[in-house]
Amino acid sequence: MYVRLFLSAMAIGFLIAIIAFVITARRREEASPEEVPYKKLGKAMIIASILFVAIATPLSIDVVEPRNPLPDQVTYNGYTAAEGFKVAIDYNCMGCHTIVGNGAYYAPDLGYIARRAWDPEAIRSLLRTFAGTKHMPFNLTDEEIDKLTAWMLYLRDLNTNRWPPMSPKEVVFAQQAQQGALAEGKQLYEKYCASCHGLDGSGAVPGTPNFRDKAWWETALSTTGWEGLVNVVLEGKNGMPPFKSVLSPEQARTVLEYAKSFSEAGVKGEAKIVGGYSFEPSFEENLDIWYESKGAWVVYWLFTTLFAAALLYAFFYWYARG
Amino acid sequence: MPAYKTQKLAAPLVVVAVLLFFIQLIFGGIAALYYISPNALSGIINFNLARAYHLNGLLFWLFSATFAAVIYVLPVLSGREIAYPGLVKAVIALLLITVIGGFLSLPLMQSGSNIWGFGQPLLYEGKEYVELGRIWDILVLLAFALFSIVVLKTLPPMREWPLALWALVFGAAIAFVLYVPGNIFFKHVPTSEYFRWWTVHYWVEGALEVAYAGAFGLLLMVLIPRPELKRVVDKYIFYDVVLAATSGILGQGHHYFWIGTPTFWILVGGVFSALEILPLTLMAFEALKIAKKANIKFENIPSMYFMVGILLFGVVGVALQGLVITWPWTNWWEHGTWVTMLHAHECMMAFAMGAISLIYFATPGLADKPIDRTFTIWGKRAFTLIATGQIIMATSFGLAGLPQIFNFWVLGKPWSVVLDIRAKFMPGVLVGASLVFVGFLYYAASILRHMFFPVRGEKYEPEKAPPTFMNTLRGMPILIVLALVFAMIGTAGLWSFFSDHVLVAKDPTIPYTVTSIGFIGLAVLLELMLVKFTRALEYGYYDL
Ligand code: HEC
Ligand code: HEC
Repeated sequence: MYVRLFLSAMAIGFLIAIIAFVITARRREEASPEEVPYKKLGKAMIIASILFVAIATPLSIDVVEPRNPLPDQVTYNGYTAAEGFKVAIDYNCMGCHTIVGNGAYYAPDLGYIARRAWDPEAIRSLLRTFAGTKHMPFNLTDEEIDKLTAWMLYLRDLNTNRWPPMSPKEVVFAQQAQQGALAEGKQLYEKYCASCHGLDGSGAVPGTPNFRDKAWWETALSTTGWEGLVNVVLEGKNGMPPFKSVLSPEQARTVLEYAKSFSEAGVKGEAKIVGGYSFEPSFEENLDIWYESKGAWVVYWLFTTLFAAALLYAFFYWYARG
Repeated sequence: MPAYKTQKLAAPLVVVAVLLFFIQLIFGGIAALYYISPNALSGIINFNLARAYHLNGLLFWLFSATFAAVIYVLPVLSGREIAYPGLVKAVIALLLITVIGGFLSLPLMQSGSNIWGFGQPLLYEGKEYVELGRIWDILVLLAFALFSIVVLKTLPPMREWPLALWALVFGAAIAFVLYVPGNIFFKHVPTSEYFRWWTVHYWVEGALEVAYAGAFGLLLMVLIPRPELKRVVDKYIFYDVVLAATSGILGQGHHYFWIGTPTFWILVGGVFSALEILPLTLMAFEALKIAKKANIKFENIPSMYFMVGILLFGVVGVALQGLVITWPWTNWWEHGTWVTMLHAHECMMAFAMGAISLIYFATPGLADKPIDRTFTIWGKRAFTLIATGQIIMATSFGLAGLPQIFNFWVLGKPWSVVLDIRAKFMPGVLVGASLVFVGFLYYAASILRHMFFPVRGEKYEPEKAPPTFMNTLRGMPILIVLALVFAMIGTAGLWSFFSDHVLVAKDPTIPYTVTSIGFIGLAVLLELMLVKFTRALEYGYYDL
């Protein structure tokens, strides 16, 4: 569908340019050789392109309705991704690795590594393993590693229109933990927990916490911890009944992971798709952002077609007159 | 015999430019060593440090050469001495302080010991192309600002500027203003990358297409003061600026496909960066036409050779190799792989040739010595070696990128496999790099000899060359069209990574073969056109 949009804009732009070129043939012949051609069109084109960038810039850098997680929101062990980016700047990761595909090609893309590893602990242990080796001959403190882990989690979750290409095998690896667990978690959650905690996790009976609240999870994980929470589920707590007769500790953890996904931006209880071999699905995935909606696409297509027509017309004009 | 005393101020910058070019090449070599023997220098000069020197060496020798050229040409254009020669010296000093201070702080990245202030990294910054820290960026900008005061004070009033001069000043100004956003630290990666490309991409658009077009126009007008030529140049500059500015501004969207920016860039950036080949092809045809009209004998042959180099590296390396990878469906595969390096190295070579051409242009005058046989012959050899070497090296990178795509993106093999496969292409890279290095030695020798050693001034007499195919411009338009065909073949090759042969049957033969035909075809055509074009201009065969 995308290639069709692209080629139709090109083809129709070309057609309009040819028609305009034929229509203006007479005027072109009558013009004096001194005249600097299509002066008005040229100026209009420059203004239009600058205007386009002026409008596209705020949309592109996530200041209106962000399409990406923001660096202050993604955290690991109390550190934010923004702090991690500073560490990355200090060690110039981009001089060996690529970040969103830009940088050096000596080592693999950091977003790709993060997506493949997926789990924060796995990312952290990769950093621990590689830092200080011949590959990456510098030492990172534990604090720096935690900050970088937060940053790599953020890179993992950037909405890069599904780039980098990732083989289904890798996608499955990455999603297994996530998707498989989430699917099982969803099933168990809806069976045992939804009655009190609500289908959407926001809490159905008084006293229950709001699972959609990121801050709640942050405190719970840093005070009670995963093990503590698993224990609550198995043993119960106040109004919360014990589930050890129906759930194994692993299953309890799985349900909790699912409950936590309610708090994650853009995920809301579903597995995130990463990679694959095509960028096409990203058009559908982003339709709910107003500047990437169907209506907006009509505008972009029209702009592209008309501008391409003007550009090609200018080129033909030059060729005929030059 | 510079007509104006202040032209001489350019001399130290020429020497700095030669030295920094040397540094660039040495560190390029060290980076290459990592692909042959990964542990040899690890811990001493890490890969990222070598790469930072390789890039910043390049940028700063280009800056130095451009400043030198402006200092040299400014008095001629304005018909008077440069205003505030003291300020020019201050600018040169600032530039030197920046280079030395900036380059001395880069090694700190090996231990991560940066200093942050005002939310910005002060000593160095780990972002490619803009590695210098805020302190040094501010000094560079200060140098630019002081220099523009000098330029504006020296030039005649703006009312009298020819269009070419407008283009030059405008292009340069844009390039400098847009130096700022790319250098600021933004904590959001998409924002950071979005603005970094403003800087890096507009150097190409602003500097290469607009400012260089203006510079050529001006050079031509100085060389051949004929009114009908001025008309041709004026018109061509106008077309060039309109096409380059618009397709360039929107075309930079090809950097915004996968960095977290909205999907609309995939349409807008894709279409307009595909159309970006228009201004450069136009430049090529215009140049052919202007050459035919002007029909002059060049005295400074090395400068002319490198000028031709910009043009053809511009058309093939920038425009056509750019076209191959700019379609979203080819970019999807090649982004973040060595295929990108093919375009990058040919692109930067177009810039570099511009700067070398300017240096050759200014050197005889600066040194106050005539153009002689050795200068010309060494210059020609430098050109042939640098151009050929760069084509071989860049093409090897591009070819090595194909198995990287297949093994890493498609098969998901470990990274060490990628390193092993790419290492097989290193002989090509090394042969190319060695040619470039020998070419550099000829270039440096010819410039430094003129600067520092006595030159007797034996005249260069081109041998009588018959008007054979290789010595004339005959068939050039067909070759350019043929190059477009090979670019489409390369495009089809990268596109075919989406086919079921590759993705399901895991058989990469089709993309490997088709893309290689495209890349090698473009390389051969580029070399062929370079030989034909330079010889034709040297021997004076202007007819197509
Ligand atoms: C001197 C170059 C260099 C620098 C600087 C560097 N890396 Fe690496 N990194 C490598 C190499 C080489 C590998 C090994 C890749 C492999 O073989 O899998 C690697 C591997 C990794 C891995 C594990 C990759 C895997 O295959 O799973 C991670 C994670 C990583 N680096 C993160 C970082 C971060 C974060 C930074 C910035 C603080 C950084 N690197 C800076 C060269 C570098
Ligand atoms: C009968 C209603 C009920 C059901 C069913 C129920 N919960 Fe709860 N849950 C509660 C209440 C009430 C609390 C608040 C307990 C407190 O902190 O006093 C709670 C608290 C929690 C907490 C927070 C514990 C803490 O330390 O603050 C977690 C986690 C939790 N529930 C998970 C689950 C999971 C997982 C399930 C399904 C397997 C589940 N709950 C089923 C009522 C329920």
